[in-house]
Amino acid sequence: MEFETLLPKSSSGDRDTEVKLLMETNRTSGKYGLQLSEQQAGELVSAEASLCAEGERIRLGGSAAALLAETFCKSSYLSQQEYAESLLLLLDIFYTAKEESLELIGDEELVQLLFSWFEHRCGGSLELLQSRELEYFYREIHDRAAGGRRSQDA
Amino acid sequence: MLEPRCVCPVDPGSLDPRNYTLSLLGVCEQAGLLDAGQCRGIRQVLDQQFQELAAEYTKRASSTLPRTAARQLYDAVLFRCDAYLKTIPLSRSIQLLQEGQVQLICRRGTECMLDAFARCKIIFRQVYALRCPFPIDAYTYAMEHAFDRFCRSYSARFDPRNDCMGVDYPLLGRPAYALTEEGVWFVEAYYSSLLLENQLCRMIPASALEALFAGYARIYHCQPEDLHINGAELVVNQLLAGFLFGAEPLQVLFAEADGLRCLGVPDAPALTEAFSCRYAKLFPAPLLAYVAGYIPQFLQEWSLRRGYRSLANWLVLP
Repeated sequence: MEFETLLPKSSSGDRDTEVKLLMETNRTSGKYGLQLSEQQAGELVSAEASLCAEGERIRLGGSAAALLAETFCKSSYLSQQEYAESLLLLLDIFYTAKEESLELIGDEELVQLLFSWFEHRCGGSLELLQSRELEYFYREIHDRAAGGRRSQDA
Repeated sequence: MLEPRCVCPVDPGSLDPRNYTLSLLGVCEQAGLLDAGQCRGIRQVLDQQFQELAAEYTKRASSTLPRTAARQLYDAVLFRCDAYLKTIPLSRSIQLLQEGQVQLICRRGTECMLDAFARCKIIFRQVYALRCPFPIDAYTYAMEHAFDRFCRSYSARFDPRNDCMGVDYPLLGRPAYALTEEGVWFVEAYYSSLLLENQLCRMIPASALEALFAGYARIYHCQPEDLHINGAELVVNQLLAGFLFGAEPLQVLFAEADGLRCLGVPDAPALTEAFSCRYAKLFPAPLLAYVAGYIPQFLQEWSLRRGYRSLANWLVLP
């Protein structure tokens, strides 16, 4: 029995359930005039699985895509035209941020942070979110981690 | 009344001590002792244990986990199983696996680790009370800091293989990490060995130890503080050499050692027996066995050195 075969996979294995979960976010996003089609939901589910596989992450349960949809649908900067595409970009940003934050921050807290910066500091610009806010954030996390390591060695 | 004995169908030698549970599962599956259904059941419970551990690790706040962390956590689950299964007869291990008692195995494994942790504290207190005045930084670290680091940083739940001590001080005849034990058992084995070594070195006057270290440092043209050796090995080498040419018991410094000049390489079993007879009344049994285990290595080193001058580059001789 090989150890690696025991580890869970990068995809949850149940694509239909994930698509259904994502489609359920339309109940919330619909209030803000935003909807995902089944095809778009499918693309987001596939994108999440790819990002996890590329980032060597295994799934424990739940969906970051659904969490992002539930939170970002309230944004005043997203329109129906770019809703799905923005969520795809946000998924990429989310998983990069998870890794760069050294796993010190939970999913919900991270999504709330991303939304807060996107909405109140970046004027709805995903480029600014990635290039400015997140860079500051990563630097702070790494500095804090390095300071923690130094005090442990002392 | 004699009970019928069944030969265990699994050869204990075929099991990997570092991955005991996994190798046992593999061997049992191959030998037909576990069928596909039983394997599936065992796998399911292991997965559940992993999922629960991963949820705790992420504080139930993350839907994903890096593969490296997942590997470590699953390994932690298996390590817990190893902790228990290695303490019971192989036939009983197989029986528990056949019955699908994986939760029981994990629970008992946790208890074994907690017991080992408690024993480590007791052993360390004894080791610390007998610490010796060695001028060796690595020894000072092992006595003053390493155990604290273990207590503060060791994660029996999430990373049980990593003892967190980072010790560098070697043991008698081997490097620290030559011990096959891991995690809390490494700590137990390491400090149990140091306890015996401290007991031995405490039998030698501090002034003699100091002179010994100074003499050894002169051989290597350095200061005693620059030495990176095992203090007990220094002492044992002297005791064995002294025994060979008729010095007094526990004598480590010699005014003269002419008896060494024409001595051949002794026979290991004969030396072990004679040394043990001489020191049986002076050393407690565990210490005697510990020192006796080093004798073959001592003789191997001895055999590499021909003549007094060569021996004087290894032992502290006049």
